[in-house]
Amino acid sequence: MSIAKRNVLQERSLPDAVLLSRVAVGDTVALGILYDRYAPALLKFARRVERQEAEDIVQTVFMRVLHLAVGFDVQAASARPWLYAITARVALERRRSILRWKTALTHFAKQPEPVVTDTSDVRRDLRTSLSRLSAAKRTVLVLAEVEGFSCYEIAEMLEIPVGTVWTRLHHARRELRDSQEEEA
Amino acid sequence: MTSSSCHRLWQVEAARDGRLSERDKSSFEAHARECRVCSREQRRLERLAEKLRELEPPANEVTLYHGRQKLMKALDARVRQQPSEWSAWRVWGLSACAALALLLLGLWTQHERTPPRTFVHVSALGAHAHWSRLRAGDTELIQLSDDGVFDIRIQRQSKDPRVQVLLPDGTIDDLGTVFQVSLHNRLTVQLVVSEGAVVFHRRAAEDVYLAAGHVWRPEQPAAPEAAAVKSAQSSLQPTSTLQMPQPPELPTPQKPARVAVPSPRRTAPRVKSPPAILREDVAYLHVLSLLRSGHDFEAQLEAIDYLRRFPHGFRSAEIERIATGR
Repeated sequence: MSIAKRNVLQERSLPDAVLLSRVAVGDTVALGILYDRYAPALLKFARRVERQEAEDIVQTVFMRVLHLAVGFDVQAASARPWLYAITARVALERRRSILRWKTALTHFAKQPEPVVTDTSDVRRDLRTSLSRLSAAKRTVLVLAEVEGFSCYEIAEMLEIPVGTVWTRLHHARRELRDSQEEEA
Repeated sequence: MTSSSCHRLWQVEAARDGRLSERDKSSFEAHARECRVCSREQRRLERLAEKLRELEPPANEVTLYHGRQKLMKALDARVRQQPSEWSAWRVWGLSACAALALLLLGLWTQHERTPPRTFVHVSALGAHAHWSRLRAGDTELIQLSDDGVFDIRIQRQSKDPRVQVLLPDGTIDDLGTVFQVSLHNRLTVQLVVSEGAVVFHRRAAEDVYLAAGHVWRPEQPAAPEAAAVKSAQSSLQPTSTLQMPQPPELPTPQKPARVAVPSPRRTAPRVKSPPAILREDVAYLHVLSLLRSGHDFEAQLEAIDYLRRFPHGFRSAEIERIATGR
């Protein structure tokens, strides 16, 4: 094995904290390694939370990491919760921005807000049911049930009380279940 | 407990979300193993989670590759656009230093180029000695009143306004000087020039030109005519202290000297009256010099004085025209 290849492999096995400390001083190679490590999972998460904008969201997350890396807690075992928190925040910002645009355009065109058709085909689809949840509930549900974060971790990531996480999670499950039962 | 409900059903979700203590959780898990309602609820929640996890296929490799390329390109563009923090600080620092240096250079040049404004300082000694300063056209007038000793320091450039000291019995034209004037009974009793030069225009008498080191005192009463002539002739030599219509501009002394009575060696010879014919010439020339320098009013006054002093002077016709302004 060549020395260069060995170095690359060594770099790829570096802990998140080391890579982020290198990113903090402008090392884009370290950022590339982090991208390879977390982008697939973040992309899936982003698709579940904000399907239309997922790729742009991930792109924005890693651009933001370049500036936020200085503040990363080097004692943390993994950057995973930190990266998910950034992703959730970017997704929320993106959603708000889109909503603002939609509102402005609707107001400008003086058109009534389009009514979502409540057909059985749409409701049958779990993805559609998920998309019908509010962004806040959907984010909490995906983080808890798909990504496996504890409610305390989610509370910390989203900077909300853990009681709010429990409430959102409960309502999200109930709404999804109702939707599934109606389908059945 | 019925087959469709259980009073501990809420604990299924609570245990899953970490809302129960370890003890309650163990107790509930033991219960759930025997309770069909709770175990069924557990399975439903787990199925929902599995469905959600299966909802999205793994990220496409091509999508990830393109995303990575896009990210790296954006980062490279940003790094190229932004200079490093160190170089940015260096540029800012150098710019600030250059600006400061230019500012200081400008201020220094301005200071060097700006001529000092006319500076007049008068200190009066004596119980009733007082003075005032006023401006008449382009002339600064210093008026000395009552008796006393006045130390006067005037600093001015050739372009600055002319300075004239008004005395009860005459005027002193300043040429950038330090001098001392002593007044007694509203008469000038002594004029000591320490620096520069002055022209003393006495009323009803000849003008006196005094340079640095010269001392002027009033004439002695009624000297013999011959001696007066001799004295006056000697005083009209090139080094004389009599009036010069336009005295040459003297170089400004390098070091300011204190006002003091000069040593006898440097004291100019006492000015004595020249013969009447010479006095008339001097007075006539002074009127002409005032006219040529544009001081018409002063010339008119001097012309009147000439006519009073020399009513039958051989230039009286010409001077009369000046005095009457015709």
